[in-house]
Amino acid sequence: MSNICIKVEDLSKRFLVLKTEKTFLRTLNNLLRRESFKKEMWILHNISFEIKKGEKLAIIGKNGCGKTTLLRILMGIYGKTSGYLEVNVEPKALFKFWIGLNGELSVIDNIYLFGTVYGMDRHFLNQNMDKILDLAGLYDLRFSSLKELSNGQTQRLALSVFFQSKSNFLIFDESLVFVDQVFANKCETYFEELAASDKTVIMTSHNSSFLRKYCHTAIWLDEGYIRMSGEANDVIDKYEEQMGS
Amino acid sequence: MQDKVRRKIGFSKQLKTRLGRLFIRSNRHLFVELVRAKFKITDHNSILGILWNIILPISTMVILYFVFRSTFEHQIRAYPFYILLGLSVINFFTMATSHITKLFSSNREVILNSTISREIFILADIAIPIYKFIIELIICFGFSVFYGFFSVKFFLLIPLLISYIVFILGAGMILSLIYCFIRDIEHVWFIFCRLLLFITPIFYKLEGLSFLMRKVLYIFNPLVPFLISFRQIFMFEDKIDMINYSYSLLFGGFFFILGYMIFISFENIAMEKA
Repeated sequence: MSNICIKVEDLSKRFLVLKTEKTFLRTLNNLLRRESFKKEMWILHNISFEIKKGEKLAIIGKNGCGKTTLLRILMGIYGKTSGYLEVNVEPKALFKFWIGLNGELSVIDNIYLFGTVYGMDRHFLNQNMDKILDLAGLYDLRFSSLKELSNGQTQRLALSVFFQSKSNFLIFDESLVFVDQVFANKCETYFEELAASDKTVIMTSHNSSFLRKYCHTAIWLDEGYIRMSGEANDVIDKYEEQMGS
Repeated sequence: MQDKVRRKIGFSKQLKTRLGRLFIRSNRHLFVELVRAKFKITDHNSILGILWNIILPISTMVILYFVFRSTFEHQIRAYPFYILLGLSVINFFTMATSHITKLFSSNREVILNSTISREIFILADIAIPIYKFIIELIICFGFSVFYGFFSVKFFLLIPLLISYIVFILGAGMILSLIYCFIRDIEHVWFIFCRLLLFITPIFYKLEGLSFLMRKVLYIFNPLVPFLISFRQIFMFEDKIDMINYSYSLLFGGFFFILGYMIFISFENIAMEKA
Protein backbone atom coordinates (compact mmCIF):
# COMPACT_ATOMS: atom_id res chain seq x y z
CA MET A 1 0.00 0.00 0.00
CA SER A 2 1.22 3.48 -0.90
CA ASN A 3 2.81 5.53 1.86
CA ILE A 4 1.62 8.72 0.20
CA CYS A 5 -1.24 10.51 1.90
CA ILE A 6 -1.57 13.39 -0.55
CA LYS A 7 0.05 14.02 -3.91
CA VAL A 8 -0.38 17.33 -5.69
CA GLU A 9 1.11 18.14 -9.10
CA ASP A 10 0.86 21.47 -10.94
CA LEU A 11 -2.37 22.30 -9.17
CA SER A 12 -3.93 25.66 -9.97
CA LYS A 13 -7.13 27.27 -8.83
CA ARG A 14 -9.06 30.06 -10.50
CA PHE A 15 -12.18 31.76 -9.20
CA LEU A 16 -14.58 33.68 -11.38
CA VAL A 17 -15.66 36.69 -9.38
CA LEU A 18 -18.40 39.17 -10.14
CA LYS A 19 -17.43 42.62 -11.36
CA THR A 20 -20.49 44.10 -9.73
CA GLU A 21 -23.42 43.06 -7.55
CA LYS A 22 -25.85 41.11 -9.67
CA THR A 23 -29.49 42.10 -9.92
CA PHE A 24 -32.12 41.07 -12.43
CA LEU A 25 -31.81 44.32 -14.41
CA ARG A 26 -27.99 44.23 -14.47
CA THR A 27 -28.04 40.61 -15.60
CA LEU A 28 -30.48 41.51 -18.37
CA ASN A 29 -28.32 44.47 -19.37
CA ASN A 30 -25.17 42.30 -19.51
CA LEU A 31 -26.95 39.65 -21.55
CA LEU A 32 -28.21 42.23 -24.06
CA ARG A 33 -24.79 43.84 -24.39
CA ARG A 34 -23.10 40.43 -24.44
CA GLU A 35 -20.72 41.57 -21.73
CA SER A 36 -19.25 39.18 -19.20
CA PHE A 37 -20.14 40.01 -15.63
CA LYS A 38 -17.27 37.94 -14.27
CA LYS A 39 -13.53 38.30 -14.12
CA GLU A 40 -10.85 35.70 -13.45
CA MET A 41 -8.91 35.58 -10.21
CA TRP A 42 -6.08 33.03 -9.89
CA ILE A 43 -5.56 32.00 -6.27
CA LEU A 44 -3.11 29.09 -6.67
CA HIS A 45 -0.45 28.61 -9.37
CA ASN A 46 1.22 25.26 -10.23
CA ILE A 47 1.38 23.90 -6.71
CA SER A 48 3.26 20.59 -6.36
CA PHE A 49 4.05 18.66 -3.18
CA GLU A 50 3.34 15.38 -1.47
CA ILE A 51 2.66 14.39 2.11
CA LYS A 52 3.58 10.99 3.48
CA LYS A 53 1.36 9.22 5.98
CA GLY A 54 2.23 10.32 9.51
CA GLU A 55 3.89 13.53 8.33
CA LYS A 56 3.19 16.82 10.12
CA LEU A 57 3.17 19.68 7.62
CA ALA A 58 2.94 23.40 8.27
CA ILE A 59 1.64 25.79 5.62
CA ILE A 60 2.71 29.37 6.18
CA GLY A 61 2.20 32.62 4.35
CA LYS A 62 0.56 36.01 4.56
CA ASN A 63 -3.21 36.39 4.77
CA GLY A 64 -4.79 35.85 1.36
CA CYS A 65 -1.88 33.83 -0.04
CA GLY A 66 -4.11 30.80 -0.73
CA LYS A 67 -3.58 28.62 2.37
CA THR A 68 -7.26 28.03 3.12
CA THR A 69 -8.13 27.58 -0.56
CA LEU A 70 -5.43 24.92 -0.87
CA LEU A 71 -6.75 23.14 2.23
CA ARG A 72 -10.31 23.31 0.89
CA ILE A 73 -9.14 21.73 -2.37
CA LEU A 74 -7.39 18.95 -0.43
CA MET A 75 -10.62 18.41 1.52
CA GLY A 76 -12.61 18.14 -1.72
CA ILE A 77 -14.70 21.21 -0.86
CA TYR A 78 -13.43 23.16 -3.89
CA GLY A 79 -12.61 21.60 -7.20
CA LYS A 80 -9.21 22.31 -8.80
CA THR A 81 -9.02 24.28 -12.04
CA SER A 82 -6.07 22.28 -13.37
CA GLY A 83 -3.39 19.85 -12.24
CA TYR A 84 -3.36 16.49 -10.52
CA LEU A 85 -4.58 15.70 -7.02
CA GLU A 86 -4.51 12.38 -5.23
CA VAL A 87 -5.95 12.09 -1.72
CA ASN A 88 -5.51 8.66 -0.18
CA VAL A 89 -6.78 9.32 3.35
CA GLU A 90 -9.98 11.26 4.00
CA PRO A 91 -9.13 14.32 6.09
CA LYS A 92 -11.13 16.03 8.84
CA ALA A 93 -10.52 19.75 8.99
CA LEU A 94 -11.26 22.41 11.56
CA PHE A 95 -11.46 25.67 9.64
CA LYS A 96 -13.52 27.96 11.83
CA PHE A 97 -14.57 26.99 15.30
CA TRP A 98 -18.17 28.23 15.02
CA ILE A 99 -19.01 26.06 12.02
CA GLY A 100 -21.72 23.57 12.80
CA LEU A 101 -22.64 25.29 16.06
CA ASN A 102 -26.02 26.86 16.73
CA GLY A 103 -26.48 29.72 19.21
CA GLU A 104 -30.07 28.80 20.03
CA LEU A 105 -29.18 25.29 21.21
CA SER A 106 -27.69 24.27 24.55
CA VAL A 107 -24.02 23.41 24.98
CA ILE A 108 -24.84 19.68 25.10
CA ASP A 109 -26.98 19.85 21.94
CA ASN A 110 -24.14 21.69 20.22
CA ILE A 111 -21.73 18.95 21.20
CA TYR A 112 -24.00 16.43 19.44
CA LEU A 113 -24.39 18.67 16.40
CA PHE A 114 -20.74 19.70 16.11
CA GLY A 115 -19.54 16.17 16.82
CA THR A 116 -21.67 14.65 14.05
CA VAL A 117 -20.42 17.30 11.60
CA TYR A 118 -16.95 15.85 12.28
CA GLY A 119 -18.02 12.22 11.93
CA MET A 120 -18.71 11.24 15.56
CA ASP A 121 -21.99 9.61 16.54
CA ARG A 122 -24.25 10.28 19.54
CA HIS A 123 -23.17 7.09 21.32
CA PHE A 124 -19.49 8.02 21.06
CA LEU A 125 -20.22 11.59 22.14
CA ASN A 126 -22.25 10.40 25.15
CA GLN A 127 -19.31 8.26 26.23
CA ASN A 128 -16.96 11.23 25.95
CA MET A 129 -19.37 13.94 27.14
CA ASP A 130 -17.78 14.52 30.57
CA LYS A 131 -14.30 14.54 29.03
CA ILE A 132 -15.36 17.15 26.46
CA LEU A 133 -17.11 19.36 29.04
CA ASP A 134 -14.20 19.13 31.46
CA LEU A 135 -11.64 19.96 28.78
CA ALA A 136 -13.74 22.93 27.64
CA GLY A 137 -14.32 23.95 31.28
CA LEU A 138 -18.05 24.20 30.59
CA TYR A 139 -19.50 21.48 32.80
CA ASP A 140 -21.61 23.94 34.84
CA LEU A 141 -22.84 25.65 31.67
CA ARG A 142 -23.82 22.48 29.83
CA PHE A 143 -27.53 23.38 29.72
CA SER A 144 -27.00 27.05 28.80
CA SER A 145 -27.63 28.34 25.28
CA LEU A 146 -24.50 28.69 23.22
CA LYS A 147 -25.33 32.34 22.57
CA GLU A 148 -24.79 32.99 26.31
CA LEU A 149 -21.15 31.87 26.00
CA SER A 150 -18.22 34.10 25.09
CA ASN A 151 -16.25 33.58 21.87
CA GLY A 152 -13.41 32.05 23.84
CA GLN A 153 -15.72 29.57 25.56
CA THR A 154 -17.31 28.64 22.22
CA GLN A 155 -13.89 28.04 20.71
CA ARG A 156 -12.87 25.87 23.67
CA LEU A 157 -16.03 23.84 23.19
CA ALA A 158 -15.41 23.34 19.46
CA LEU A 159 -11.78 22.36 19.96
CA SER A 160 -12.64 20.01 22.82
CA VAL A 161 -15.07 18.17 20.56
CA PHE A 162 -12.74 18.17 17.54
CA PHE A 163 -9.89 16.76 19.66
CA GLN A 164 -11.98 13.58 20.10
CA SER A 165 -11.88 12.89 16.35
CA LYS A 166 -10.41 9.49 15.51
CA SER A 167 -9.51 10.49 11.95
CA ASN A 168 -6.04 9.58 10.71
CA PHE A 169 -5.65 12.84 8.85
CA LEU A 170 -6.37 16.12 10.60
CA ILE A 171 -6.21 19.68 9.32
CA PHE A 172 -6.06 22.73 11.60
CA ASP A 173 -6.53 26.05 9.87
CA GLU A 174 -5.49 28.74 12.36
CA SER A 175 -7.59 26.95 14.92
CA LEU A 176 -5.89 28.28 18.06
CA VAL A 177 -6.03 31.98 17.28
CA PHE A 178 -8.17 33.20 20.18
CA VAL A 179 -7.53 30.64 22.93
CA ASP A 180 -6.46 31.82 26.39
CA GLN A 181 -3.26 30.65 28.08
CA VAL A 182 -5.01 28.14 30.38
CA PHE A 183 -6.67 26.36 27.48
CA ALA A 184 -3.53 26.69 25.34
CA ASN A 185 -1.71 24.68 28.02
CA LYS A 186 -4.39 22.00 27.85
CA CYS A 187 -4.06 21.98 24.05
CA GLU A 188 -0.31 21.40 24.37
CA THR A 189 -0.90 17.94 25.79
CA TYR A 190 -3.19 17.11 22.87
CA PHE A 191 -0.77 18.40 20.24
CA GLU A 192 2.20 16.65 21.86
CA GLU A 193 0.30 13.35 21.65
CA LEU A 194 -0.71 14.17 18.09
CA ALA A 195 2.88 14.97 17.11
CA ALA A 196 4.02 11.62 18.51
CA SER A 197 1.21 9.69 16.80
CA ASP A 198 1.18 8.22 13.28
CA LYS A 199 -1.62 10.55 12.21
CA THR A 200 -1.07 12.89 9.29
CA VAL A 201 -1.50 16.55 10.20
CA ILE A 202 -1.55 19.82 8.29
CA MET A 203 -1.50 23.06 10.26
CA THR A 204 -1.65 26.68 9.30
CA SER A 205 -0.93 29.34 11.88
CA HIS A 206 0.73 32.70 12.29
CA ASN A 207 2.29 31.37 15.50
CA SER A 208 5.65 30.17 14.17
CA SER A 209 6.88 28.73 17.48
CA PHE A 210 3.77 26.52 17.58
CA LEU A 211 4.46 25.27 14.05
CA ARG A 212 8.16 24.70 14.75
CA LYS A 213 7.23 22.60 17.78
CA TYR A 214 4.79 20.23 16.13
CA CYS A 215 5.61 20.14 12.39
CA HIS A 216 8.46 18.37 10.57
CA THR A 217 8.07 20.01 7.19
CA ALA A 218 6.67 23.27 5.89
CA ILE A 219 5.48 24.97 2.75
CA TRP A 220 5.66 28.74 2.31
CA LEU A 221 2.91 30.07 0.07
CA ASP A 222 3.32 33.51 -1.45
CA GLU A 223 0.55 34.96 -3.62
CA GLY A 224 -0.53 31.51 -4.73
CA TYR A 225 2.98 30.19 -5.53
CA ILE A 226 5.14 27.88 -3.45
CA ARG A 227 8.00 30.13 -2.43
CA MET A 228 9.87 27.47 -0.47
CA SER A 229 9.34 23.99 0.96
CA GLY A 230 11.43 21.67 3.13
CA GLU A 231 12.36 21.27 6.80
CA ALA A 232 9.93 23.26 8.98
CA ASN A 233 12.64 25.25 10.80
CA ASP A 234 14.43 26.25 7.59
CA VAL A 235 11.26 27.38 5.83
CA ILE A 236 9.93 29.29 8.84
CA ASP A 237 13.36 30.97 9.35
CA LYS A 238 13.36 32.19 5.75
CA TYR A 239 9.74 33.32 6.00
CA GLU A 240 10.39 35.27 9.20
CA GLU A 241 13.53 36.77 7.70
CA GLN A 242 11.52 37.92 4.71
CA MET A 243 8.69 39.27 6.86
CA GLY A 244 11.13 41.09 9.11
CA SER A 245 12.89 42.83 6.23
CA MET B 1 -8.89 3.57 8.40
CA GLN B 2 -10.97 5.20 5.76
CA ASP B 3 -8.93 5.28 2.57
CA LYS B 4 -10.29 6.92 -0.48
CA VAL B 5 -8.97 8.16 -3.80
CA ARG B 6 -10.63 11.09 -5.49
CA ARG B 7 -9.96 11.41 -9.20
CA LYS B 8 -11.71 12.86 -12.16
CA ILE B 9 -14.73 10.64 -12.66
CA GLY B 10 -17.71 10.47 -14.99
CA PHE B 11 -21.21 11.67 -14.21
CA SER B 12 -22.81 8.28 -13.57
CA LYS B 13 -19.94 7.18 -11.34
CA GLN B 14 -20.09 10.51 -9.55
CA LEU B 15 -23.82 10.02 -8.95
CA LYS B 16 -23.23 6.50 -7.65
CA THR B 17 -20.46 7.73 -5.31
CA ARG B 18 -22.66 10.55 -4.02
CA LEU B 19 -25.63 8.33 -3.32
CA GLY B 20 -23.33 5.83 -1.63
CA ARG B 21 -21.89 8.59 0.54
CA LEU B 22 -25.34 9.94 1.36
CA PHE B 23 -26.32 6.77 3.14
CA ILE B 24 -23.11 6.20 5.09
CA ARG B 25 -23.50 6.05 8.86
CA SER B 26 -21.92 9.41 9.69
CA ASN B 27 -24.24 11.21 7.25
CA ARG B 28 -27.28 9.44 8.69
CA HIS B 29 -26.23 10.53 12.19
CA LEU B 30 -25.71 14.09 11.01
CA PHE B 31 -29.10 14.16 9.33
CA VAL B 32 -30.78 13.04 12.57
CA GLU B 33 -28.91 15.68 14.60
CA LEU B 34 -29.70 18.46 12.10
CA VAL B 35 -33.40 17.57 12.10
CA ARG B 36 -33.42 17.31 15.90
CA ALA B 37 -31.77 20.76 16.12
CA LYS B 38 -34.27 22.27 13.66
CA PHE B 39 -37.20 20.91 15.65
CA LYS B 40 -35.78 22.32 18.88
CA ILE B 41 -35.20 25.72 17.33
CA THR B 42 -38.60 25.84 15.59
CA ASP B 43 -40.60 25.58 18.80
CA HIS B 44 -38.02 27.39 20.95
CA ASN B 45 -39.73 29.78 23.44
CA SER B 46 -43.08 29.19 21.72
CA ILE B 47 -46.12 28.85 23.98
CA LEU B 48 -48.50 27.38 21.40
CA GLY B 49 -45.74 25.33 19.71
CA ILE B 50 -47.24 22.77 17.37
CA LEU B 51 -50.63 24.57 17.37
CA TRP B 52 -49.18 27.31 15.15
CA ASN B 53 -48.96 24.71 12.39
CA ILE B 54 -52.72 24.33 12.54
CA ILE B 55 -53.73 27.95 13.16
CA LEU B 56 -52.39 29.37 9.86
CA PRO B 57 -54.22 27.06 7.41
CA ILE B 58 -57.40 27.01 9.51
CA SER B 59 -57.56 30.83 9.77
CA THR B 60 -56.90 31.23 6.02
CA MET B 61 -59.54 28.60 5.33
CA VAL B 62 -62.10 30.46 7.48
CA ILE B 63 -61.46 33.76 5.66
CA LEU B 64 -61.59 32.20 2.17
CA TYR B 65 -64.71 30.25 3.14
CA PHE B 66 -66.62 33.37 4.25
CA VAL B 67 -65.48 35.36 1.21
CA PHE B 68 -66.30 32.74 -1.43
CA ARG B 69 -69.01 30.57 0.09
CA SER B 70 -71.87 32.43 -1.59
CA THR B 71 -70.28 31.75 -4.99
CA PHE B 72 -68.93 28.23 -4.63
CA GLU B 73 -70.50 26.48 -1.65
CA HIS B 74 -73.50 25.21 -3.62
CA GLN B 75 -71.13 23.78 -6.33
CA ILE B 76 -68.62 22.05 -4.04
CA ARG B 77 -69.45 19.54 -1.36
CA ALA B 78 -67.64 20.00 2.01
CA TYR B 79 -66.42 23.39 0.83
CA PRO B 80 -64.37 24.30 3.99
CA PHE B 81 -62.52 20.99 3.73
CA TYR B 82 -62.02 21.57 -0.03
CA ILE B 83 -60.29 24.89 0.76
CA LEU B 84 -58.24 23.48 3.64
CA LEU B 85 -56.82 20.65 1.56
CA GLY B 86 -55.94 23.04 -1.26
CA LEU B 87 -54.21 25.40 1.17
CA SER B 88 -52.25 22.59 2.81
CA VAL B 89 -50.90 21.36 -0.53
CA ILE B 90 -49.92 24.87 -1.63
CA ASN B 91 -48.48 25.91 1.76
CA PHE B 92 -46.23 22.87 1.82
CA PHE B 93 -44.89 23.68 -1.63
CA THR B 94 -44.33 27.35 -0.74
CA MET B 95 -42.70 26.67 2.62
CA ALA B 96 -40.47 23.82 1.46
CA THR B 97 -39.19 25.57 -1.67
CA SER B 98 -38.54 28.77 0.32
CA HIS B 99 -36.46 26.78 2.84
CA ILE B 100 -34.41 24.97 0.18
CA THR B 101 -33.90 28.10 -1.95
CA LYS B 102 -31.53 29.50 0.69
CA LEU B 103 -29.65 26.22 1.09
CA PHE B 104 -26.25 27.61 0.09
CA SER B 105 -26.55 30.97 1.82
CA SER B 106 -27.96 29.69 5.13
CA ASN B 107 -25.52 26.77 5.35
CA ARG B 108 -22.67 28.54 3.58
CA GLU B 109 -20.10 28.27 6.37
CA VAL B 110 -20.63 24.56 6.96
CA ILE B 111 -20.75 23.72 3.24
CA LEU B 112 -17.60 25.77 2.57
CA ASN B 113 -15.69 24.21 5.40
CA SER B 114 -16.66 20.57 5.37
CA THR B 115 -17.25 17.71 2.98
CA ILE B 116 -20.71 16.88 4.29
CA SER B 117 -23.06 15.84 1.48
CA ARG B 118 -25.15 18.83 0.50
CA GLU B 119 -28.11 16.52 0.09
CA ILE B 120 -28.11 16.12 3.88
CA PHE B 121 -28.82 19.84 4.29
CA ILE B 122 -31.58 19.71 1.67
CA LEU B 123 -33.26 16.78 3.42
CA ALA B 124 -32.88 18.47 6.82
CA ASP B 125 -34.31 21.71 5.37
CA ILE B 126 -37.40 19.97 4.08
CA ALA B 127 -37.96 17.92 7.26
CA ILE B 128 -39.88 20.66 9.13
CA PRO B 129 -42.21 21.47 6.19
CA ILE B 130 -42.86 17.73 5.76
CA TYR B 131 -43.68 17.43 9.45
CA LYS B 132 -46.10 20.37 9.25
CA PHE B 133 -47.67 19.03 6.07
CA ILE B 134 -48.23 15.64 7.67
CA ILE B 135 -49.96 17.33 10.64
CA GLU B 136 -52.22 19.15 8.18
CA LEU B 137 -52.91 15.91 6.31
CA ILE B 138 -53.88 14.24 9.60
CA ILE B 139 -56.41 17.05 10.15
CA CYS B 140 -57.62 16.56 6.58
CA PHE B 141 -57.93 12.85 7.28
CA GLY B 142 -60.19 13.73 10.24
CA PHE B 143 -62.33 15.91 7.95
CA SER B 144 -62.42 13.10 5.39
CA VAL B 145 -63.77 10.66 7.96
CA PHE B 146 -66.20 13.32 9.28
CA TYR B 147 -67.68 13.95 5.81
CA GLY B 148 -67.83 10.23 5.05
CA PHE B 149 -65.25 10.26 2.25
CA PHE B 150 -62.89 7.75 3.82
CA SER B 151 -62.41 4.56 1.77
CA VAL B 152 -59.81 1.99 0.77
CA LYS B 153 -58.36 4.38 -1.85
CA PHE B 154 -56.33 6.01 0.93
CA PHE B 155 -53.51 3.55 0.22
CA LEU B 156 -52.87 5.63 -2.93
CA LEU B 157 -51.85 8.54 -0.72
CA ILE B 158 -48.37 7.26 0.16
CA PRO B 159 -46.98 7.07 -3.44
CA LEU B 160 -48.57 10.44 -4.19
CA LEU B 161 -47.07 12.01 -1.08
CA ILE B 162 -43.62 10.65 -1.96
CA SER B 163 -43.95 11.89 -5.52
CA TYR B 164 -45.04 15.34 -4.32
CA ILE B 165 -42.11 15.56 -1.89
CA VAL B 166 -39.54 14.55 -4.53
CA PHE B 167 -41.09 17.01 -6.99
CA ILE B 168 -40.62 19.77 -4.42
CA LEU B 169 -37.05 18.60 -3.77
CA GLY B 170 -36.31 18.84 -7.49
CA ALA B 171 -37.80 22.31 -7.74
CA GLY B 172 -36.01 23.40 -4.55
CA MET B 173 -32.62 22.20 -5.78
CA ILE B 174 -32.94 24.17 -9.01
CA LEU B 175 -34.06 27.26 -7.07
CA SER B 176 -31.16 26.96 -4.63
CA LEU B 177 -28.71 27.09 -7.55
CA ILE B 178 -30.43 30.05 -9.22
CA TYR B 179 -30.44 31.92 -5.88
CA CYS B 180 -26.62 31.81 -5.79
CA PHE B 181 -26.40 33.60 -9.16
CA ILE B 182 -29.47 35.81 -9.07
CA ARG B 183 -30.63 36.89 -5.61
CA ASP B 184 -33.77 38.47 -7.09
CA ILE B 185 -35.20 35.00 -7.46
CA GLU B 186 -36.24 35.21 -3.81
CA HIS B 187 -38.64 38.08 -4.61
CA VAL B 188 -39.75 36.53 -7.88
CA TRP B 189 -40.51 33.30 -6.06
CA PHE B 190 -42.39 35.13 -3.30
CA ILE B 191 -44.65 36.76 -5.91
CA PHE B 192 -45.09 33.46 -7.75
CA CYS B 193 -46.10 31.70 -4.52
CA ARG B 194 -48.67 34.44 -3.81
CA LEU B 195 -50.07 33.99 -7.33
CA LEU B 196 -50.28 30.24 -6.78
CA LEU B 197 -53.21 30.91 -4.43
CA PHE B 198 -55.18 32.16 -7.44
CA ILE B 199 -53.80 30.09 -10.32
CA THR B 200 -54.40 26.84 -8.45
CA PRO B 201 -57.99 25.69 -7.84
CA ILE B 202 -57.94 26.16 -4.08
CA PHE B 203 -61.29 27.88 -3.56
CA TYR B 204 -62.80 27.33 -7.01
CA LYS B 205 -63.34 24.28 -9.23
CA LEU B 206 -61.13 23.69 -12.25
CA GLU B 207 -64.22 22.49 -14.12
CA GLY B 208 -65.76 25.95 -13.62
CA LEU B 209 -63.13 27.51 -15.92
CA SER B 210 -63.16 27.65 -19.71
CA PHE B 211 -61.63 24.69 -21.61
CA LEU B 212 -58.62 26.79 -22.63
CA MET B 213 -57.95 28.04 -19.10
CA ARG B 214 -58.27 24.52 -17.71
CA LYS B 215 -55.65 23.27 -20.19
CA VAL B 216 -53.33 26.22 -19.56
CA LEU B 217 -53.46 25.76 -15.78
CA TYR B 218 -53.08 21.99 -16.02
CA ILE B 219 -50.03 22.21 -18.28
CA PHE B 220 -48.25 25.23 -16.82
CA ASN B 221 -49.05 24.88 -13.14
CA PRO B 222 -47.46 21.60 -11.96
CA LEU B 223 -49.35 21.76 -8.67
CA VAL B 224 -52.72 21.28 -10.37
CA PRO B 225 -52.38 17.54 -11.17
CA PHE B 226 -51.08 16.90 -7.65
CA LEU B 227 -53.92 18.84 -6.03
CA ILE B 228 -56.51 17.02 -8.16
CA SER B 229 -55.04 13.68 -7.02
CA PHE B 230 -54.92 14.72 -3.35
CA ARG B 231 -58.55 15.86 -3.54
CA GLN B 232 -59.66 12.68 -5.26
CA ILE B 233 -58.05 10.60 -2.53
CA PHE B 234 -59.34 12.69 0.38
CA MET B 235 -62.68 13.93 -0.89
CA PHE B 236 -64.44 11.86 -3.49
CA GLU B 237 -65.76 8.44 -2.59
CA ASP B 238 -65.07 6.49 -5.79
CA LYS B 239 -63.62 8.79 -8.45
CA ILE B 240 -59.86 8.46 -8.92
CA ASP B 241 -58.61 9.61 -12.30
CA MET B 242 -55.78 7.10 -12.68
CA ILE B 243 -54.33 8.92 -15.69
CA ASN B 244 -53.95 12.11 -13.69
CA TYR B 245 -52.70 10.11 -10.68
CA SER B 246 -50.06 8.29 -12.77
CA TYR B 247 -49.08 11.56 -14.44
CA SER B 248 -48.54 13.12 -10.98
CA LEU B 249 -46.32 10.23 -9.90
CA LEU B 250 -44.26 10.27 -13.08
CA PHE B 251 -43.97 14.03 -13.16
CA GLY B 252 -42.76 14.12 -9.54
CA GLY B 253 -40.10 11.50 -10.27
CA PHE B 254 -39.05 13.12 -13.52
CA PHE B 255 -38.72 16.58 -11.97
CA PHE B 256 -36.69 15.21 -9.08
CA ILE B 257 -34.21 13.50 -11.44
CA LEU B 258 -33.98 16.64 -13.56
CA GLY B 259 -33.46 18.87 -10.50
CA TYR B 260 -30.87 16.53 -8.99
CA MET B 261 -28.88 16.26 -12.24
CA ILE B 262 -28.81 20.05 -12.58
CA PHE B 263 -27.86 20.35 -8.90
CA ILE B 264 -24.93 17.94 -9.23
CA SER B 265 -23.70 19.69 -12.36
CA PHE B 266 -23.71 23.22 -10.96
CA GLU B 267 -23.44 22.94 -7.18
CA ASN B 268 -19.69 23.59 -7.03
CA ILE B 269 -19.94 26.72 -9.16
CA ALA B 270 -22.97 27.82 -7.11
CA MET B 271 -21.15 27.26 -3.84
CA GLU B 272 -18.27 29.49 -4.90
CA LYS B 273 -20.83 32.20 -5.65
CA ALA B 274 -22.93 31.74 -2.51
